[in-house]
Amino acid sequence: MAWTWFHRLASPPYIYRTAGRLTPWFAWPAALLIVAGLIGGLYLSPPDYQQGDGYRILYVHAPSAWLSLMVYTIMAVAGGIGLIWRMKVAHAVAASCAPIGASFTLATLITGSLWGKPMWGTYWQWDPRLTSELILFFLYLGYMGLRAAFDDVQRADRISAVLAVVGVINVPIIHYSVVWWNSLHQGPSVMYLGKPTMPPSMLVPLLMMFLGFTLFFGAVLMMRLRGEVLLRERTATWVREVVGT
Amino acid sequence: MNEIAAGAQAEPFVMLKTPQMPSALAVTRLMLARDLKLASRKASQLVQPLAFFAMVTTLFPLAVTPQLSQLRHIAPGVVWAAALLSSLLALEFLFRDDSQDGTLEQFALSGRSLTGLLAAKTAAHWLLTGLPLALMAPLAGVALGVPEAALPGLLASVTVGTVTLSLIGAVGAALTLGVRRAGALLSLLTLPLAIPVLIFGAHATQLAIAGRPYGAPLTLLAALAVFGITLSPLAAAAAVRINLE
Amino acid sequence: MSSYYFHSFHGFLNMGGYAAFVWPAYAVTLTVMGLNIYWAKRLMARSRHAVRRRIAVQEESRLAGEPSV
Repeated sequence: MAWTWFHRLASPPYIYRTAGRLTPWFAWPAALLIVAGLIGGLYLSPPDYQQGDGYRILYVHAPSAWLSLMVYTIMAVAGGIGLIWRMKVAHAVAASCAPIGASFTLATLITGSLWGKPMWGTYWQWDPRLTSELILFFLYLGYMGLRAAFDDVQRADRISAVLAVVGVINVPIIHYSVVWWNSLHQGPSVMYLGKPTMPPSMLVPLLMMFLGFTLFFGAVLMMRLRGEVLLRERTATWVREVVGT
Repeated sequence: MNEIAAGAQAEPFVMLKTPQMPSALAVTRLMLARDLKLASRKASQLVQPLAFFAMVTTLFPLAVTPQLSQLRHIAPGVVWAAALLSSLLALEFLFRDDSQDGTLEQFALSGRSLTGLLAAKTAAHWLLTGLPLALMAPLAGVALGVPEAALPGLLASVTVGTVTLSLIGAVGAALTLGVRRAGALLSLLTLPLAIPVLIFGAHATQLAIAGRPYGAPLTLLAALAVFGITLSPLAAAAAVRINLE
Repeated sequence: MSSYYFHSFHGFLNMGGYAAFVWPAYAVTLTVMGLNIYWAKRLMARSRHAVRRRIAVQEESRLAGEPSV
């Protein structure tokens, strides 16, 4: 019984249909949660006693950072699955993830920089989180550059999957070494809020944003995955009925 | 080359007996000897990364200050960044010749463990590029005002660090095997993974200059090298196989 | 559920003096979200186009009497 589920997951037409059907189930809750999170974060929650209203960047910065890491992990896992079980769909998932993750990594860097200017006085600081995020951005660029270097889609899939697996194993090592490096030189305190624990009025919108962003990623992934699958399968017969004439 | 690729088929009249398959250790020694001999015929490609290293090191006093007392402060960073970049340059010939004349394919088809063969090739490459670089590092150090007491620490850290750099580089070179003009892409892939080596290596050098014990970062460097030895040939072999398909 | 923290809409827009940082940060994030949706749609359009072209090419070769691929 379990194997039929697995095999269906590997079937491109099934994935194409299912991704299409799942998209609204991701998209609408995502929209609701993000709107609610925006209202809660921007309007309903109190200002921070140290950072005033400037801390509200947290509500977009933190979820973006979370996405940037989560998406890279999913990309690597999907690539690994594609390598081990030779599943085309898994490679399509990995390919779909890359631009999403890279763009949110960039958003994390920009929002982090905008947060840093009023807090630290400069648009950039070599604090461990931002530095790790910058390196992650390079990892994404390398992944996408490697994919683009191959004309053959299958080879691009498999080679970039190897890179993603190597990368995901190294991300904790890189992060640890950056944290260690930063602690040696007494870097500036990162954007932690003044209170050790957040009151619910701050925490709830933040959690909503985390969940909303994650569901947003799910929706965009479903959309991209359909496009990827269609492109890769354009020579197959099932594709004709889907597209029509 | 034939001895490695096809067991005992180099001497057809021996086929009547059971062919003697060389042991893994013998194969490793053969590979090392072969690579070292082949590289010795093209000495210029060994010298160029070293010349590059010297050139980059020279740029910094010219660009910053001739005062040794001040250069000392940036010496760890300069030596390590220059070592990183030079090892990137040297990666070019790790797989180039063998992939062009089909020998790499023979290695993959030989029935011997491609992982082991690539580990041996990487070891040879380190002996040809990383080790000379490490031996040059104290010279660069002296040029940048590093006190004599710190030179053994500098030598030790660069020696260990270049091992890991060769291993990381082997993965990058394997991934970009068929890619034309892969230089920039190879750098983009390799440098983020090399950042922990840079951090721990530069710190060990800094401690050595300050006359403090540098055992901790040196041990971390060694741990990275061990980790690299276990993971890198595997990943490189996977990438080579994909590229040869 | 009223807010005690912003005394007016102008106060809200001002974000306690941090408006120049908070609003661009939100704008960037929402733009990235919008771009992701746009890219996904564009990929889909490109794929559909590729499929249609492929079908058209196959039709042409079929009409020309070549064995269908």
